[in-house]
Amino acid sequence: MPEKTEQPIRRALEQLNAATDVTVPTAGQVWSRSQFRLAYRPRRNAGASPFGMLLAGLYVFALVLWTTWSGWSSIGLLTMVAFAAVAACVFARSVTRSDRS
Amino acid sequence: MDEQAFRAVYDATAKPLSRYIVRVCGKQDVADDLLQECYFRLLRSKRADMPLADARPYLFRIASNLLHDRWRRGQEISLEDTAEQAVEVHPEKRMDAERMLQGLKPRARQLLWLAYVEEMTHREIAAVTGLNVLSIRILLQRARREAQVLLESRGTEHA
Repeated sequence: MPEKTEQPIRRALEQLNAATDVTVPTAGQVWSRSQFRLAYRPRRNAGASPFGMLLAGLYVFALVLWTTWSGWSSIGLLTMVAFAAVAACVFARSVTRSDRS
Repeated sequence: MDEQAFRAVYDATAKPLSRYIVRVCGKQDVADDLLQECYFRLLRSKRADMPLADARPYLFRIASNLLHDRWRRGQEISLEDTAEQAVEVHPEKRMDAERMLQGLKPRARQLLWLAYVEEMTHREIAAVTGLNVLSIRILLQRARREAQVLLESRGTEHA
């Protein structure tokens, strides 16, 4: 495009740029906001681990079996409690890790 | 990146970046949010320690992506807010330029601003917008044609 047709556009935009008085936050404000967001952003690996989910699934499955079948002995009950304890430990560790910033 | 390095980058880039966002997106409050987001993403990136010469196009690239996301979501765009923000230097000429920008599509505004205000080359604009150089050449030519028509029509109205 010839120079003379480009000039009015350039001039108009330059004038507009010069006339645009923007107020921006200070560097310190943007820095501290960004640091806050960086510190408290959600972790990528937040949430329960697959191992914890598997344990929880097994626990629910075993609980359903145990409550629907009367032939279980007290060993079955102990197994259930042990499962529940392990699952609770895994979840507690997972939650503590993902909540720590 | 430590705070001192960040301040140096911010002081050199914040105002031009803010003007770019304001003129392309058309809303001062949105521009403030996008500006903050640009620097947050810069600090979050693994390349945060890059030199100033690289940080500037990188920030414009982030801003362009954020603006593009807004267009895609249909959160566009009136330039009426920006008219109130500007200082009255040459009111008639400023109004002509405002109206010209108002009459253009966001992509055309973006390309013209990067080419004429930021003085970027086609290659730099391509890097900032994510388009290829050939497309930039064609789109910029089209944008210039449209801008020229709008400026001339304003000139005719004044006469």
